[in-house]
Amino acid sequence: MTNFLQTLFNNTTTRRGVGAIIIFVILWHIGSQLDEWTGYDLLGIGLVPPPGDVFAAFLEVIPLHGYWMSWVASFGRVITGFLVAMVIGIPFGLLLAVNRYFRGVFFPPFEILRPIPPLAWVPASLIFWPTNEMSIAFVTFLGAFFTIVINVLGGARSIDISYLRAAQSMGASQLDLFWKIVLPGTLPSIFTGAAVGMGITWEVVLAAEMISGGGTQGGGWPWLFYLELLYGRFLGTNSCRNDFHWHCRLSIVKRDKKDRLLLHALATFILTRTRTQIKNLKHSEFESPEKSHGNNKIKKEGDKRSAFQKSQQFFSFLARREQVLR
Amino acid sequence: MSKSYGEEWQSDDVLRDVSVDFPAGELTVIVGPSGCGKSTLVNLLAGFESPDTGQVLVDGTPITGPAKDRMVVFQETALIPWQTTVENVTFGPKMRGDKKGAALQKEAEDLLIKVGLGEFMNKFPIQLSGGMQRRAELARALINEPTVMLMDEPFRGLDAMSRSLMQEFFLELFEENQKTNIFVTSEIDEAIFLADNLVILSNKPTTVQTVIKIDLPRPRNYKMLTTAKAFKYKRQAMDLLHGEAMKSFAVLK
Repeated sequence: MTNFLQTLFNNTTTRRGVGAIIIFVILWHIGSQLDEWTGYDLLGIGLVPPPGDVFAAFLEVIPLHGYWMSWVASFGRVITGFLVAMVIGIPFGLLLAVNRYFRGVFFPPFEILRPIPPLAWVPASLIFWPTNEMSIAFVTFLGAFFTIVINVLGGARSIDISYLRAAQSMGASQLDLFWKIVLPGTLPSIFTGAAVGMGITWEVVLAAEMISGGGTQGGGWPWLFYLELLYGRFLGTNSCRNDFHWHCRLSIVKRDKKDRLLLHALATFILTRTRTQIKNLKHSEFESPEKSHGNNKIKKEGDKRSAFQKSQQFFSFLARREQVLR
Repeated sequence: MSKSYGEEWQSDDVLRDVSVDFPAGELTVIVGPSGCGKSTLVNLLAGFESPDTGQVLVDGTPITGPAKDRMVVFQETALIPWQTTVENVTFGPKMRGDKKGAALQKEAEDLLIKVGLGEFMNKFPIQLSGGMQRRAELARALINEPTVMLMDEPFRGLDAMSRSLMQEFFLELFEENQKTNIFVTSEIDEAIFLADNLVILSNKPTTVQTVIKIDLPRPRNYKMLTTAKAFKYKRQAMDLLHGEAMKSFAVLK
């Protein structure tokens, strides 16, 4: 072990990396404490909790059931969306590249749909898919799908034509051309597409979870957990306590900041938006899943409303909204 | 035959009434000013594209597309980058299934040893130098036993030293088995050094300007390039090409 560490730290790159992180943490600490020390707040960094507090809070979160459940839930959604995007996207991109007629038919609609941001699909996918879980997976799928297809298509189209010509004059059939030249030649782009797509999936999944109310079906991980536990913790205000029956054991943000009002307003805003989902959830759910079993069942049934009912509700909601705005 | 690109209303005539014979068993070199459509001519001969008018005949039979009897050695290397040298060489016979297994492997290895790549058969193309890549490509073409070899500026991009070495190496190969060979280049020295027949193309739209019979003895060596006869050929070719090159500059002005 010591040997391993020694070889690791003999490496200049490792030492530089570790040094950079240490310097970053020190700067962070100084930035967060500067206000207290000198009375001068550098660019609002004073609002940021110091690294020590964050680390302590992190240690407190680690043993919680909800923390790990949040990982599992988000990971499942990302993997589902990503795998489906790979399975559909790679053959689709290759077909677009090799077949002129297929490209003629499918590329224009693809290009019309592509610029629509995945998050803009959230309301539509909430309506169209029977469960929240599927809606979230669909949005993550979209996040990866377009990137993968564009990469595969671009990669396959940029294969040097002389490889194809050489193979052709040596007597390779169309099928051989595909398996021996086009597919191996596209592999690098497939991996690039997958790597970029995976990144986008993670960006999209959290936002989709937030907007859809966290997929209450699966227990609300991780968004409700995040809202209740972490937001409550970080803000440590009375309103949090009242809304969630949550005892804020640790308040990280300093209470007497003038910006507290702003944060307060932000929190209230987000909380009101998700209140409908939260109302049915008891605090206990986050720490012991067994007790909440009955509760979950009710919500599952609630989620199984038909797409039609959902859209009805959505449109009546929009209509009411319109009236209010007028 | 003729070939033009683009739509009818905005077409770009590349070849106009090009008619030329490539005698069997001889090395015909095509030279022409840059951008005159040499590569287009090669694509038509190989069958990658088809002419608008006229046809390409091999022993009196019109061609229908690319085939293994007309192997092309491309301008820049076209070795498949994810296959080793020996895999590249065996690619053609494997695809067609006409040679198989150990016999094919043996033949490929012998060919690679012959072109001086014995130690490099399990390397990937990117690990070879430019000259080695061209030799590997020659081996890849030769294993298909083509009746016609089409070389589209095969030594372009090589440094002067490897270029002249490759020319000598290529001549040795050619003089050994005297295959019908069509060699495209823009270098007059290279053309005269290699050719039996020298086809000089005009500026775009391309026509055949002259065919010069190069009457230098074989086997050749680089010393012959400095003989009076070679100089005469060079002068003749340069006069023609210079005129054509001036025309293409005039278009630009």
